[in-house]
Amino acid sequence: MNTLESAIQLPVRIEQWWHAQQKKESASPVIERMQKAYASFKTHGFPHVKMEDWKYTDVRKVTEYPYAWPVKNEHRLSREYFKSFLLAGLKDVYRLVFVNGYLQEDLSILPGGDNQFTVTHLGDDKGTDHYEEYLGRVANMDTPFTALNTALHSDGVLIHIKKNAEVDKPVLVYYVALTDNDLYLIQPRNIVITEPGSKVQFAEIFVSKGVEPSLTNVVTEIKAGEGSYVDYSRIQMEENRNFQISYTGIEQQKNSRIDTHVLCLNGAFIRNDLHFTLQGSNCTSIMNGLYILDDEQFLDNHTRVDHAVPNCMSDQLYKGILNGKSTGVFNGKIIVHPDAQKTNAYQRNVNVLLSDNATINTKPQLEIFADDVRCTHGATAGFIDEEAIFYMQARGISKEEARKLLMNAYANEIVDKMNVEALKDPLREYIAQKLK
Amino acid sequence: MSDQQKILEEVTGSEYKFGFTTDVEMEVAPAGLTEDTIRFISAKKEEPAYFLEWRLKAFRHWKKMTEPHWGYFKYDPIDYQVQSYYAAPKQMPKKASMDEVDPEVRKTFEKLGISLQEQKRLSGVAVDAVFDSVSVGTTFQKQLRDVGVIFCSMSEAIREHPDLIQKYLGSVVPYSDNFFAALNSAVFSDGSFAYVPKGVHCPMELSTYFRMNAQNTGQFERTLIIADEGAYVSYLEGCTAPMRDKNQLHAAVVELIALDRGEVKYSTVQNWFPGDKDGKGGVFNFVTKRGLCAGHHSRISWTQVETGSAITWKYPSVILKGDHSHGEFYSVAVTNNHQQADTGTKMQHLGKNCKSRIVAKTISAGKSNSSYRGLVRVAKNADNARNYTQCDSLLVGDKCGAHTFPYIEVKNKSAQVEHEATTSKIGEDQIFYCNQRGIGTEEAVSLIVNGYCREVLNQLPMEFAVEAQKLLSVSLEGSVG
Repeated sequence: MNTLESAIQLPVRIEQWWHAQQKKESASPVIERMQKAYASFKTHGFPHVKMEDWKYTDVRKVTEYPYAWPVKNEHRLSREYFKSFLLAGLKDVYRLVFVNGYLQEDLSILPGGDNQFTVTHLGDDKGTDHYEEYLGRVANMDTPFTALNTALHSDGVLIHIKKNAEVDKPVLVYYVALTDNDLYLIQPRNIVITEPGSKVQFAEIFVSKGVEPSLTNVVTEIKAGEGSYVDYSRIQMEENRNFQISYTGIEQQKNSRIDTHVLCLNGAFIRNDLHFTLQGSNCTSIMNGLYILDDEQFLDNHTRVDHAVPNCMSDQLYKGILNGKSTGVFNGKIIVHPDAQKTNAYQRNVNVLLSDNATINTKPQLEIFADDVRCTHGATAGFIDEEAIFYMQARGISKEEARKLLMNAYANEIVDKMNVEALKDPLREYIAQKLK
Repeated sequence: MSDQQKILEEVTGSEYKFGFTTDVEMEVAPAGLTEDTIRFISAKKEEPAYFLEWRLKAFRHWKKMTEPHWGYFKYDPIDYQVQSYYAAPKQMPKKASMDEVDPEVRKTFEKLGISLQEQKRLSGVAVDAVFDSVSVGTTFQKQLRDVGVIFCSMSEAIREHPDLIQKYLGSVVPYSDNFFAALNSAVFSDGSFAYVPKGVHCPMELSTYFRMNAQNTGQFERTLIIADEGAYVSYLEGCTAPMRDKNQLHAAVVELIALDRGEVKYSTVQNWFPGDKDGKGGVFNFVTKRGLCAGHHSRISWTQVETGSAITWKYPSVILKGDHSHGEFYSVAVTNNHQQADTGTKMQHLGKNCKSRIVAKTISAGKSNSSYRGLVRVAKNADNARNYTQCDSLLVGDKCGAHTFPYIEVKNKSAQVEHEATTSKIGEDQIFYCNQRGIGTEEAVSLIVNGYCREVLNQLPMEFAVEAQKLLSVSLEGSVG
């Protein structure tokens, strides 16, 4: 890359990439959707701190780098190196590995033969119909980063499950940011469609390797049909030079249940948006979250649940541990629309600060327009319970050991709620390491 | 039980019972807002030159500001040039004696249950009555002066106590603070001033009653209360306005200061005209209230019962600057018909070992919307900060909304901050239980609401608690069924 090029601002580069992409493709409904998204991004630009939803999150910290656009098939990760990542050696799973946003087939394990379900990537012909039908249907285009991803995404996972079918193994999707030579803007896009009565467990795992920074802007859309069940995990373990902005849009029909587990375990800068729209009655939405930050790490978790119909239940528990000079942000919105009677919505955000230089900004938020509801929320910020430590000390456990026990127990409450058993033990070990 | 009965009987059939107007000859400043308006107000009040200068500075700053719109409510744009900024009853009494107050004005206050005839008062509450823009009388001044307490109208304080005014006015809410505070600093016409000297426990409750009467005027009053070292003062504020078709603007500023071991307790029963059933008219209550716990072991407590106003937009806050200081906020906000309220508090923990407590209860009925918006901030050096926040919303009817926006910002690891909120409705089984025992549905609601608010109402001084209970019943009338 020459110096002249690196001086060009990100929006200008994005414009160039956009025009390059436009030349290749001919008009179709999906292209129109992408053009609309790009127009929206161009009008709004990157969000700024004067916007309520970005009040504590200054994205200039991550958009000022001269990122390059990764070229398909140019980035390859060796099998040996991949094996070194946590959770990479798990057996009895389907696996998709995306390096800088593109599938690396030799590391992936995809289902073979005829199935009642499709687990593939966007670039595969098998998924073209679903891709064209569903791209941008669930995700909320109001967020500039989501619009940008819709306009200019690379590859990603596509899961489609037929009526009453079940994906027989958990689907693990790895996103590797590989920045040995250059810094990249990586934009994976994922689409999950579950037809009525179907079931799937899948996890997105973010890791990185390299010396340069990267910005991953990922969007996942989940459309859950009547009575379907989705277990969704997002595990973020990038290095301290990698940035991530993610948006997950979930649309639920009658009687469906979605469990989400968002574990932010490492990364320099993370912003997560998790948005549920409940469109049918008797839906259950579970949100579990854990974040462990140290050094100068920054994390912002935004969640939003739109209760649009009666008789739904949402339950949220987000726990945080903040050390070093880290900053955590939590904003949970529960919106109960008129007529969404008999809604039960619970929300809790608890935080532990381990250092005097750490900061937590939390804002649990309720907006309620129906009267026959039961909504509660709570938020706390505090320190380790001195009495609990004293209790253990009185029984011969050293202060250090007692503190460790308490912290691990606190964090593992979230890990215990996960449903993919194979993930739990390695994650507990990783957490114990980080809390040392 | 008989008390409860009486209260319920009293409120039957009444809507907004303070909606009458008083016919007195008024002196009203021409509509519009320019530097001349401010000079006019200042000259009317015979203010010293330094004060006019301060007002003009505020006005110039205000002109550069834009009206904020982040509140959770909607209203038509306010034209600041069509209303008048000064209205006073003619024959301004020089307040040598209460008898000189215009009999019409006196009658108004008597109708409102506030007697300016101090000899007739049994309970010892000193009242400063503000009619439109000016204070018409302050009672018990002599008794207060004997113990060293200064309690008078703001204009008198500006003339008589310039040293205190210069030192404290604008020290908690500077004119540059926000749009409405700047406007208030420029045009405020009167208000109350109280100063309790070192070590004095103010012997009686101080009280101000605000009455908006004239049409097309805004009310901009300014209150400043100072508790010097070891002093204690309890202050009550009440307000009403006649029914008018047009919205009236009320932009007040209240500043409280507590020095070392000083304590200020501020209670409000706000009952401005809320607009009619269709949301026409009503007062816009855009108020800046802030207290500063300047000294160590100081204490400030806000208690508010908000039942009136078309729009309520205020956040009585406490800045906990002194070590070991204490801030409290108790609130009941009731909205009915088309009322909108966005209210809450801010607790800024700056000193060490400070504590704050927030109890906010909102009740929404009809087509109203009420929001709690609060901020608890713990600064980096505010060791051992402790905060407890509880905010509950009660919904009556399915056309109303209740919203909660709590902000918590913590930069210190020793802080313990807790926030809890619930939203629910009055249970059908609770009402059924009352019905079974011969209590009508409306009375049952009133009973349940009073129980729900008890925690806050208990904080009010006796005289106000009764009034507040009545108000709650009136405000919710017609919202059931």
